[in-house]
Order: sequence, then C-alpha cells, then structure tokens
Amino acid sequence: MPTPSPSAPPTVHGLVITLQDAEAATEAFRERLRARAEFYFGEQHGKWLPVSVITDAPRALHGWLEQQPEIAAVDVVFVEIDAPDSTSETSAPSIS
Amino acid sequence: MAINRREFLLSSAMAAATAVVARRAGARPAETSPTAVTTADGIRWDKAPCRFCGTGCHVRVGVRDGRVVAIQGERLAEVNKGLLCVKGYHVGGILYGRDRLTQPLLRRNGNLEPISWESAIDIIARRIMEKPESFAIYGSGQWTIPEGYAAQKFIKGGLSNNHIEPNARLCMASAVTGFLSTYGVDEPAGCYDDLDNADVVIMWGNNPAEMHPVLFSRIIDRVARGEKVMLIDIGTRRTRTTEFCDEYLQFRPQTDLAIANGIAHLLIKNDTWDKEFVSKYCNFRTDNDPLDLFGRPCSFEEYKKLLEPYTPEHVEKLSGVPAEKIRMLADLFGRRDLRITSLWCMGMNQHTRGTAINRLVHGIHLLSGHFGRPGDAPTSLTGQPSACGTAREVGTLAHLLPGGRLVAKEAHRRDAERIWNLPEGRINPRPGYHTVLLWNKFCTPTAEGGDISTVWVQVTNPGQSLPDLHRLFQSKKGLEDKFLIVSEVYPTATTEIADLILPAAMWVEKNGIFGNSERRTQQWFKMVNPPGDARDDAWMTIAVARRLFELGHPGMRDKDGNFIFTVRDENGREVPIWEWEHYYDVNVDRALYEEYRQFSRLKHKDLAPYDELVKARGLRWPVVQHEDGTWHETPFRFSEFSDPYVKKGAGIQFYHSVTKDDRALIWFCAYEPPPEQPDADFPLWLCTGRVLEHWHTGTMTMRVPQLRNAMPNAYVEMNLADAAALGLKNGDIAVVESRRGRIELPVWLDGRGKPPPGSVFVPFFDERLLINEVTLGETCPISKEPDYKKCAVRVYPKGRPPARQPAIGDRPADRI
Repeated sequence: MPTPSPSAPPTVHGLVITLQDAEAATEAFRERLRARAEFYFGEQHGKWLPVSVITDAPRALHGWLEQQPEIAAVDVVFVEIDAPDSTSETSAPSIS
Repeated sequence: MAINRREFLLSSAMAAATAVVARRAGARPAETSPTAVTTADGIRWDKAPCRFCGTGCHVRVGVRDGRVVAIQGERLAEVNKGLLCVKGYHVGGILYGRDRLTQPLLRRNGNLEPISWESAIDIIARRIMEKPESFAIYGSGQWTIPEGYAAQKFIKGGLSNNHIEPNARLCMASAVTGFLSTYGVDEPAGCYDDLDNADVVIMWGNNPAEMHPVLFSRIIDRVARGEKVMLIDIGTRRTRTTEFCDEYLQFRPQTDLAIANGIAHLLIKNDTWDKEFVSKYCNFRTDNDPLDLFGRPCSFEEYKKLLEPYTPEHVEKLSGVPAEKIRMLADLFGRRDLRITSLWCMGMNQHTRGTAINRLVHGIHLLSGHFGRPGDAPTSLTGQPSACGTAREVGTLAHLLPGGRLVAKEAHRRDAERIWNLPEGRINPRPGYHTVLLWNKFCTPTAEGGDISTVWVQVTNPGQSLPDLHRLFQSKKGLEDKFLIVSEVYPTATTEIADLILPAAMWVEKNGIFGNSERRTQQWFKMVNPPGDARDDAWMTIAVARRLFELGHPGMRDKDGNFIFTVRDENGREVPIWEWEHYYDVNVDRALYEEYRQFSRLKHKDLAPYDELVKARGLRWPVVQHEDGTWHETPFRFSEFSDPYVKKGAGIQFYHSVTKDDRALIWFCAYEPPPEQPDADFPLWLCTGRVLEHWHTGTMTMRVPQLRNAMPNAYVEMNLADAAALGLKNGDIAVVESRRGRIELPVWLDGRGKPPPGSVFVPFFDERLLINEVTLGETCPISKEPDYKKCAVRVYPKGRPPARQPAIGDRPADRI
C-alpha cells in the first residue's frame, strides 16, 4: 500500500501561460511570479508566454497562477520526474 | 562551457514550452526526430505513446544513466500536439514506485516465497498439462499488441480452449456490439479531427474534462480562440465537463435510451430526417425476443410506429429532461448546416442496455445524415491504451480470432489455421467464457460446475475492477484446487490472493505497440531495463508455451512439427526466444506483429508494416500502400474522400454491412427499466468511475507521489441536501451499502462532481476502499458488459445505521 512521503524536492516544469491579452505580461506581473518561485520567461508570441519554473509545490503553484488576473489558462508541457516526491496538496477529504 | 543537469532541464522545459507557444501562434513546429536522439548532456530522447488511457498521446521520454528522468509532450504528434494531462506528465514516475515486484513468488502454506523463473514456468506448464481445458488467460487493453497476440495464439491456436478475455470486456464490449450491429464491423469511422471541425459536441454520459483531458482541451482551445462550438452534456451528475458546457441535460439513470428515441421521434415528426442519406445508405432494424446481436429487419413504417410513444412529453416523464430540451436536440440534428459529433465512453457502455444505447446514438446520426463529414461523427472513446489495438483488433475476447474473425465461423478458423500453419481443426469452434462467467466459474467449487481451475492474469487487476467482488473474485479464497497466477508490476488487490506472482516489465522497459481510440497504431522501443528479475509478459507466455512443447503438448507444434512461436534471425536460424538471455537477440515484437498483420486485411483494417510505425507517431488504419511505395493512413473510414476502399462515386459505402448491401442499420430499441432501482431499503443511485489524477485501479498512479498526494483516497460524493438529511458533513465517514457489500468512505460535498438528489458517486481507484464490493454484476445481454454506473445503495453515518430510510419522493432531497 503506498504511503504519503514527507519530503518535497524541487522539480523543473515547462509551462505555457495563456494571457488574458498580449499586453498583460508586464514587468510587475513577471516580478510577482518571480517572488513566488524561480521563474524563467521565454519569448512571448501573442497571448502565449512560455516559462520554465523550479518549484517544490507544483500543484499549488499551478492553482495560484490560474488565479492571477492576467492569466486565462496554464498548460503543463514538461515535467522533471527524477526527483521522487512532492508535497501533499490534496483537496479531497482524507481517510487518515 | 558545460552546463549542469538542472540548467539542462530548465532549458529543455523552456524549449518544450516555446515550441508549443510557437505552434499555437501559427508557426510550423520545429522538427523532432521520431527516432532516438541524444542531447549534449547525455539524455537520450525517444518517442512512446503514454501508458494510460485510450487517447494515445505521444510523449518524448528522456533517459539518462538507465533511468527515465524527464517527460515532455510530443509536439509533432497529431493526437496531442505537445500537450499531456497531469497523469501523462508523470507517466515516467510509474516505473519507480518503491514496491516494484522483482522476483517470482509462490504461495506456500499461506506465505509468498521467492522461486526461480525456471520453477515458475514449470509450475504453470504442469498445471496446464494436467487440465488444459480448464485453463484461462485474463488480460486487458493494457497488453501491447504483440503481447495480446502471443496470448491469443497460445490459447486458441495452442491449447484450443478459447478461454481468453480482456478487462476490456468491462469497458467497451457494448461499443463493439454497437458498431458491429450497426455497420457490420467494429470501431469508429471518424477520428479526433472531428473535434476540430464539429459545430456541436454532445457528451453522452461522458466526462472528457477528467477522463480524456487532452481531447477535451482540443475543443476548449477552439472556444478560447473565439470559434463557436456548442457543448452539450447529457449526464446523470454535474462534472468538470459540465462547467464548460452550454447545456446540461440531467437524466435519470438508464433513460438515455428514451432521450435518443425522443430525438428520432422528432426527426421523423418534423420531417427533418435526411431522406437522401437514409435512402442511399441505410436499412432499419429492431430487436428480436430474446435479444441478439443482429435483431430482425423492419420497414421504415414499422420503425416510425415503434417511435410514436417517444413524444417529448413522454421522454420528459421517463428521463426528467424537459421536453423543450429534447426538441432542442432534435432541432440541432435536423439542421444540415451544422456538424455534430457525439462522444461517449463508459457511461453508455457500462449499461445493462449498453448495446442498445450505442445503436441508438449511431442511429440518430445516420437518420439525420450527420455522418461521414469531418465533424459529423458518432465516436466512442476507450479507457485503456490498447483496448482497440489489442482487445478489439487482435481479438483477445473469448469468441474472436484476430482481425475481426469469429471462432464459431469455420472459414475464419481455417484462415487462422493457415496463417498459423496449424493442422485443420486445431481451433475450437466453441467460444470461451466471457469475463463475468469466467470469474464466476473460477470462484465456484469444481464439484458445483466451476470448470475453470487455473487463471493467469496479465496486465490487469480484476481483484479491484470486477463488479460484485465478493462473488466474482474473493470467493476464490478457500477453494484448494483453484490456482491464480498473476503477472504484475506492483502488489495489488489481485496479487493479494494469488498463488503465483510473476514480476513484469512495464511500458518503456520493453518494446511495445498500442492501438488507440481513433484506429491509430503506435510503436515504441525498450528504453530502460526492468528492475530485478522482472520480465516481459510476451516472454512469459512464450516460455510457458516452450515448456509445454518440451513436455509434449501437441498444441505447441505447428503442422510441420515446429514450435508455434518460432522466430528466426536474418540468416534464417531459429532464435531460442524462450530463454530470457536471448529474448532481445531479435525483435520479437516485430516478428509477432508482422505475423499478426496478415490477419488485418479481411475487415479492411490494414495495418502498416512495423518499420513504417517506427518512422511515424502512429498511423490510422486502414494504412494502404500507394503505387509510389509510400504508405497512407485513413482518417475517415467509409467516406470516399478519405477511405481508399470506398468505390469511386459511392460517396459513403459501409462495405462490411450486416445486410451485404453497403448500408448501415438504423435501430429501434425500446427503453426498459434497469434491473435494480432504488427502493425503500436502498433508496439512492450509486454511480462509479474515475478521477483526473488516477488511472483505472490506481496501481501505477498511486505510486507517483505528485498524483497520489493530489488525490490520496476514494470518497463518496453526495448531494448537499441528501447529506444534510442524513446528518453527514464534509469529511464524515459514511457507510455505502448495497445488497452485495458495504464500504466506509469519507464524504465529499460540493467537490468536483455534483450528484443530483437521490444519487452518489464513488471513484474506484483506491485499493483500500473497494467500491466494487458494492456494485452490480448484471450485464448487457448482448455485449456481456457489466453496469458499473447504476445500482441501489443506502448511505448512512458510520455507526448509525437507519432502521429504514425514506423512499425516493419522500425525502427532503426530493423537494429540491
């Protein structure tokens, strides 16, 4: 039976951020993201902004990104899986 | 300057994201190699289809130092265009759970003890030699095509008993019987391109936002770009899919048949049916009594008369869907200027009238002419990665031979015996047991007619996925003469009572080929070694066959006396592939697949040569060679503009039609109440299914921390008012109980899904909370597929069982 793991090493993720509009990715917006995690920004095309990010809480980060007013959607396109575990970030009720 | 591993992964992540952005912005995608490439830091990237559902997304797998270290979506793959779902991005992690099975284990005096592979193979062979007629193999749509083909040939061409079934019987058997009885041949005519072209997409009891998220995002992307696509969810509970839909039509369980008949009724009454399409391409048919696969012919006048009772008001009374919404659906189907795609999966298939509802949805597409143009398609989806490729096309069901042949049909048996070089009469004409019957026979004492004594389970987990588990699986315990063999990658509910456990290689630890939901065949190569002593499933089958050959079983020889799995090298020398150390001396997958490919022509399901699959990211059959030597896939079957087997000038040609006149069948099937409905003792409907984070019984995804932590356990999803009436709050432990069993689960209110009053939902991925101890074992009488979507239960707080619950109609919830 699998058991939850307490450790949460950071992993690398590639994301495609769909912005609400092409002007939304201001420097203030980028700073807000960098304050949350280690973000790297690629070349924006229209409403789409490629980023790579290092995080130990990808699910929480994903949820936070989706709540940002400048962001319409977030797609994951790359995941590092070598690091074995991440934190528990469940929304379902627990049996424990 | 050398870069470190983290910097490299960051640049790879950025490259993947940038490529997807460029493609979305309209740029042509940069080329990626379909064959393996090694990048500067020593990571070797190769292609593979994802291991999970039937969508068939392509991934690029990054391997370094013999270990999978990264996954990215394959941006050139037509299926997923660079995207993957949350499971797909973590697919590499399924290899590295801490409790992988690494050595064969034999149960002695109740304890599992390590044994050698040689002993394990010998034990299986001797069990079979003793009673070959009572041996069965139970696999799944997770078998690769060569694995399933090897098991199929072993049972039907070697042992002559036909007791082979896939778990796919539990998932899509009703889709198969629906296609067969409508078109005379299995599998969808359309493909995923329909999702790019439809004006209206109707989900029939389907939740693709969670179950097939990459396909669903393909539609949602169109909406995000400003295209007008109408989404309609016809369901029994609100799901994540509902949130994106323009219309949600909530129906009472089982009454989807009435809704489909109501649409057909209005198409005729309003004179909006497509007379030209029907007169050129269709016949009418209805059920026999008792029900059977092909029914009886009926005239249009009889069909019209049979539909007369299904007025919108009558359908509203049966289904709960407002009459005006039935009219809205009929009006949409009545418009030729729209393109309509219907999607379905388990909601229509796991149904005691599963064949009937499949036929009816095909029927309203045919009656309205919404067929054969991109975007106009009735399309079933599959839940397993090779349910189509291995279960349906290889034919690993008890009544089938490869390529759509039937064991009961003499010409088909002769054909298979010719391809397999077997003596005439080797293949048994009597179908084996279907899944529910097979497990019932295995769990019944031999003296009471339980004539299956040994079952070998490969690549599936029936101890969790069968319905009515106490009766169909757990009652094996204590039957001393029954023997359960399980080849697996992790401990499961099935290995829990296994007598012999064989450690298996999985996914990119072996070569493989899958066939997805849109007729696309996808190949990959082995990339890493399996752990410990784990080995390929096909090798296990071949090794047992060879041991039987050595023990003198006559079925293991062809008519020239050669071993039935003889594989030769390029110099014509036989390679001893039954010895593990020689198994990869040749490409056994290639040899098995090329032999199997000979079966694919009869039903015009022509498969591409293996070497063409190596170069592609999957090809949709029929794959036909042109005069210039190139191979071409077929996106749209039966349509002249796409399918090379359609006669010139025919437009549409159903060239395997039941009636042998190139016409499909429009069926009438009556609505019938389900075999079990809520009553005073069990007043609630139970529906079961999957969740986004976990695949099937969770044996793989529960080993991936990111997925397990996101959804760590099963739950019972309840209606707020029902829960309040029962005194249950979010997180309380509730008992869910049916006439067959009971389990305790935490309550989840206002979660992802929102069941209507009078119903609950429980996912089946959690091996600690086996909801299938509660579900019903009743099956569709034609497809033999069980109904996991509806049975009667009662729910109450743990420790406070009610004396008697109020019946539906008398509860507070009914007043909502």
